[in-house]
Amino acid sequence: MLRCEQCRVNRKQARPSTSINPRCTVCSSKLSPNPNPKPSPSKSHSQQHSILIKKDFYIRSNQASFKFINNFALKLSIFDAFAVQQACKFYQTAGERDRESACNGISGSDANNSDKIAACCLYIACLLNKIPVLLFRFSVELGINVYELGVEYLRLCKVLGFKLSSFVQNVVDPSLFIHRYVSVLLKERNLRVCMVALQIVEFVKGDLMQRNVGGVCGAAVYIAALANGFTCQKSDVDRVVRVCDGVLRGKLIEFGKTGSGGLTVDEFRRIAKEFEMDKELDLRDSGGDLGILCRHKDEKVYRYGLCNACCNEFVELCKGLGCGSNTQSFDRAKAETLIRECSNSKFEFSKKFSSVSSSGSDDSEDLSAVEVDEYLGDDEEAEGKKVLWEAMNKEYIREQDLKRSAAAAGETIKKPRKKQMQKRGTKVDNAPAPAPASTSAEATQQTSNKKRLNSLINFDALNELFEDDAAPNAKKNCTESNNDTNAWDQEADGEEIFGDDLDNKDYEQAEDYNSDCDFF
Amino acid sequence: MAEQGGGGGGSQCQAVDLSKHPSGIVPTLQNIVSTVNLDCKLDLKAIALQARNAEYNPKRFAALIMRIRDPKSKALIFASGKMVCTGAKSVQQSKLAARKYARIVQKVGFSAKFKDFKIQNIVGSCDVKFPIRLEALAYSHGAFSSYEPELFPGLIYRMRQPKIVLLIFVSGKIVITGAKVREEIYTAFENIYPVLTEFRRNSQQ
Repeated sequence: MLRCEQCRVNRKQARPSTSINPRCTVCSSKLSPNPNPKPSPSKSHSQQHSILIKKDFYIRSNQASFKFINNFALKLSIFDAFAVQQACKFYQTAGERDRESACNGISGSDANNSDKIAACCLYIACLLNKIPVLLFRFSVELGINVYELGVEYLRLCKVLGFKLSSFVQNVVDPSLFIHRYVSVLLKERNLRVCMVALQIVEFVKGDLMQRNVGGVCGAAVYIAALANGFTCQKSDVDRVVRVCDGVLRGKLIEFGKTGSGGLTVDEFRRIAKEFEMDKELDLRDSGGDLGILCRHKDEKVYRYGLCNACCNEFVELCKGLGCGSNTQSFDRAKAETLIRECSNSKFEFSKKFSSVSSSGSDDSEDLSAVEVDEYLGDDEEAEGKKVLWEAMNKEYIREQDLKRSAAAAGETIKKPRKKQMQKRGTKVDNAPAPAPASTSAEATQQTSNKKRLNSLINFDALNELFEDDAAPNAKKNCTESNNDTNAWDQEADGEEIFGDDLDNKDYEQAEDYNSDCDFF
Repeated sequence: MAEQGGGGGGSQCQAVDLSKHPSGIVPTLQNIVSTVNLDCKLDLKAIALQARNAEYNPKRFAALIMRIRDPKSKALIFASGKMVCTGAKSVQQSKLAARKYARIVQKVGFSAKFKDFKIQNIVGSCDVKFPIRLEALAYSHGAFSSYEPELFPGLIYRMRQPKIVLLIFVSGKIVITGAKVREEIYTAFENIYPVLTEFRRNSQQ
């Protein structure tokens, strides 16, 4: 029982074990050790008295705090005497600086926080000596919110002049960030998740400290969230912690590999057992916002997002495959992974879970795989569609078959080039380059093919002409065609070109006429 | 530094960052066209039979047309494995939609990958809220403008830097297209805005 001067009552100590300076719970002023009320002294006397008391207080408090720091270090199993000494020195300096700033009117920290200051001094000393210890441990021991400790720590760094020191610059202590990450990720401040995450970080601190803080934090937060029944995606964690997916994955793999990886699973199981007794978690078990995974959509979600029957089968399968953890989200995630593997390896079991998500890669975790399934029909639908499609596209199928058979036979089918013919100026020739003609008859044929005059030529007459041509080739007939001027090119070959509209009678007359004249 | 108002046309729910959009109007993106290579030969007929949301009419067009509801978009999938995704309203949505299409193809049974995703075109629109004298604008910026009211009621303005095409209408509505990145749309609009104010049609007598 101690006395508070402000309130003028006797008060109980707030924190009996750890506090150096017991504080009144109401007005936060110092509690004096004797329960009897002090007589209020006269003014001048009081001033002198207060100075003496202050000095006394500081000396006393210094010694007390040294003891406190020592005890603290032992509690945290920090055996480095040098670090402890350093911490004490820091505390002294900090105390002096604080006093100076208080005299100058700057409101530094008041003696309220001497516990905090002491703890932070020890923390700084540890950091300087590269002893791996997290602020989180301090906060647990002291029973103070780690945020407050963090604030105090930063202030102390400034006061003690550590601002530009390397360890202050790279703030690697995850405990300062985990709370923030968790609250952003889960949209609520879940202490349990924070604790689990911090514990994970502690477990692996020996191996992974001083390296990628973001990755460590992210992985820890992810596992903690899963272990507590919050399904969060890796991508969310990436976004919150500002690391890339690869880093997070790497860290998770490392967690698994380290010795503490095995330890943490047991730890989680232990914690999870505790949690399962907690009613809160049971409510969360009933599915809530998690949709049912298996095909029996009508049934209620029993466990792991599956209905009763499927769940039992799944558990058996799990036992068979040698996996097993009994935390909610872990199992759900595991269920999904297993099913993924099942469907990949064409396991029989997969048929039951055919509608369950089976994403192929981690990249596309954010795609709703269930939604993608909606777009795919089953085999019966496919068969029905096949019949319809083949009926609608009969011609196309026929064309394809022809093409295939022609290709097999070695010919080349010329595609009807209607469009190309219509293009201005482009006259595409499908025929292969012909062999040079041996007789004039063949030459005629080739030229007429090339110049597409087939529609304008009377082939009977042409053939007759060439039959006669075996005889003297003096018979040169002029053209009587109303064709284009290309016809004049044929003169040199001694050909005869007649218009289509000439019938035989006219032809005969023309021939007679032609034989008389001798143009060329 | 609040970004991105609700759009040039509608009422803006958030403050517009005037350092980024000095005109005070932010164009809204209407359409994103992107391409991706699935990197494997596809049997379009098989996909058309399996997928409910696909149509394949080889006589009419050589590609399979697939639609998804969310994000609302459409994809043309070719037998070579190349895919064109259109209709999404933002770059991220376009990528997500393309991934969904790739996933659907994967589930049908092809080993589709997601290679070379590229945004080919971004279309945006906005409203400057005052009428514009297109004729005067076409006369003044003759090198860039093409205004044929008989052919098309809008003025086609081809900006050189950035290389963007804007369709400017008498009502004050602007369509901006041809961008590969969102910032080009914004830059183009900021470039044209003072020109538009110069040719604002003041209230008629």
